[in-house]
Amino acid sequence: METRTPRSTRLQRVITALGVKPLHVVKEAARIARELGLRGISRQHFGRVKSGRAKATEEKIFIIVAALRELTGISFRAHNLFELEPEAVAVPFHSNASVPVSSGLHSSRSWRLFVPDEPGPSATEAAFEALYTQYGVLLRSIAMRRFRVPPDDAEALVHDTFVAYLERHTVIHDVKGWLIGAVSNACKHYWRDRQHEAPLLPEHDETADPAAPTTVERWMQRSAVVAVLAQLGVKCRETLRRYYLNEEPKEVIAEGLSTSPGYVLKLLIACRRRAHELFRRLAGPKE
Amino acid sequence: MTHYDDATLGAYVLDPLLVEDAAELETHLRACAQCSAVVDELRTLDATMREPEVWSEVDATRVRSEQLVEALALRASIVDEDRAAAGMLAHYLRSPLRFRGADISAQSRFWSAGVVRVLCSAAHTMHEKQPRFSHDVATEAWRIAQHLPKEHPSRALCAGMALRERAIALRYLGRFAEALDALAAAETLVQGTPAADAFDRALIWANRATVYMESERPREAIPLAQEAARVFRDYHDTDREIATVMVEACCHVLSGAPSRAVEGFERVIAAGRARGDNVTLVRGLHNAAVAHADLRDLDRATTYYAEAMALYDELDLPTEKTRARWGLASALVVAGELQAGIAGLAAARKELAALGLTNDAALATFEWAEARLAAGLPEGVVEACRAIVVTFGSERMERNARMALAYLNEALRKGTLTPKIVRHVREYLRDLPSEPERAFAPPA
Repeated sequence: METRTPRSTRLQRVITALGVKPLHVVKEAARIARELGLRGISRQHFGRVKSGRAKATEEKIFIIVAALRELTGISFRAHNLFELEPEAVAVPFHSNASVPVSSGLHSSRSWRLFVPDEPGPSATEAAFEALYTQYGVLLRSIAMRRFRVPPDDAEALVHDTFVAYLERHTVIHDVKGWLIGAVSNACKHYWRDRQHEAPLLPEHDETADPAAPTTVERWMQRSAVVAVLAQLGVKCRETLRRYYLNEEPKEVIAEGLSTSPGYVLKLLIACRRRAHELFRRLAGPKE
Repeated sequence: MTHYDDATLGAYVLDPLLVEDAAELETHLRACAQCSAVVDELRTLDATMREPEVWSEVDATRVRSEQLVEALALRASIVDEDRAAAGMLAHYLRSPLRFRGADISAQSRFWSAGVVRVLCSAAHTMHEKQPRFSHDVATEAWRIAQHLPKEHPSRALCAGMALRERAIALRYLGRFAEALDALAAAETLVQGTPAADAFDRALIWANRATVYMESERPREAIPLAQEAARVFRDYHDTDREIATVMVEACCHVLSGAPSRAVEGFERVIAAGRARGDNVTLVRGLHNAAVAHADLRDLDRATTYYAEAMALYDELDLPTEKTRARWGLASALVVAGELQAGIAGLAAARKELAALGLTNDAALATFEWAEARLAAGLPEGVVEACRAIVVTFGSERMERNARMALAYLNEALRKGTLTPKIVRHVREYLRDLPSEPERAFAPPA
């Protein structure tokens, strides 16, 4: 795989925008390379790659991407940092479930896993895991909030719903919609079996609840945020957590990260932007 | 209007002081719905990220639960099984002859749920063009499902799927009674999966409703179609919901209630337009045109027929376009616009004959002859009626059809042909495929 040699490379622009020191990238890349049994990248070579004066091999691209992910907490993909050959990056990520998939760097042995040529089993497994993770939250919410099923039982009903989907995957058109309908039916059945324990509420009636779509929309939105935050790299996630949940000022976060408040601000903007992109993809209209 | 980029809007929501001219941006936001929507979305995201519950769920989600591991293992086994089955079956599914000769259900290496799923999927794609082959494939799928171990968790589901596909193939073959038997057997197998039982049953009801519709038992079909559509709506399966609404509406036409049918067809049309699905749209338009024609609402019928014909052209479906032209001409005749109707029928009968649709061409010719006689224009009718040829699949139907044509020819010979006789013979031949046992009797 080769990179082009523009005046300002994507890698250079990202590194400058985030205020990351090239030396830190090289050191982190060396650490990752050691763990994976690969060769690291020298500071000089990295400088040439960054400025576009040298080409990077697949292996070097892999460790640079991994290093930048680790340092910034942003789930970069190879094409975010390098201008790759069109055919390598233009291939859409296949997903039977129409769910955007995080690339799972930690289990990757080759950077090509970021942009698979065809829907291999690992890619589809990742798609299913993303579906289970994202929709699991929503389906549990439906079971627990709309149908008041106790948490442990709700967990089991959601699991059974996914199993039912897997067994019928050849006849299901809209996976997400089907899962919502299926968990609702499972919950109704759950309470029908336990009528002596708790009466069915009016909203559990067979007829569709007219208010339900709005509620479901809200849960969908919330579960999308949960899925987005779970997908983000650890550094991004923790920075957002400290800023939004713990309400820590930028200065305090900077101190914890041994960096400047200005860098934290850039990190927050970049992480929030990444979260927003993922959120749009997850919560946006169905394809 | 120039819009602000996401980065600037993001910085503004994070802290207005980060933006060079926040006041100008705020003025823009008041006038720009697009940028306001982005800001609202970012504020929703920020507000949600402040909720402690959300972060608890994030932490829980990060830990791979035992259930997820179990689901992934099940998924992997299903994928492996399906892939292996597809590999084993590809060779046989390429040729009906080879498939029949292989007798795969007798070989234990094919006894897997994956083989049943792959065969059912294959059968599903063949029903329209190769119903005999799809019937064989679905039957083999069902036989293999019987060979799965009794304790296999998907045994009943696999057998039910196979029976459903077999029923669809039988419906395409016109073997309605057997199709209903297969669906009844499939329904007994639906149990024990609360999340999916309603959906599985709805698939069966929708098929049964279609069988009833095609065998002209609309009153039995309507409640089944309604219930199936309700379940599909619950499962957000819009394709199937719309298809079932169409079945229900067609049944209303068949049972003589076109005004009730129109409502259903309008829903189908709206769904087709909304989704840009021209195939659904054109079917809805064509059926709505038929219903409006039944209601003697010629204006609407003509409008719908015209749009349907334009769409059939676009979709390159000449046969359907000709049928629509034929329908429009019939509607014109019924509405008393004989000249225009006769011209349309003349064009339609020629096009049907050119397409090789012998029986339809014969029926259109009868209609044309009837209209000409009614209009006092008998020229050409005798010659056209003498040239009529019909073909039917069974010897009994052929015999009955010959009797009807002989009666017509006798009237032609005696010079006693009337519009009533032409209509009587036409309606008899039109209904013959659904009533093959009924012998021809002259009009009272």
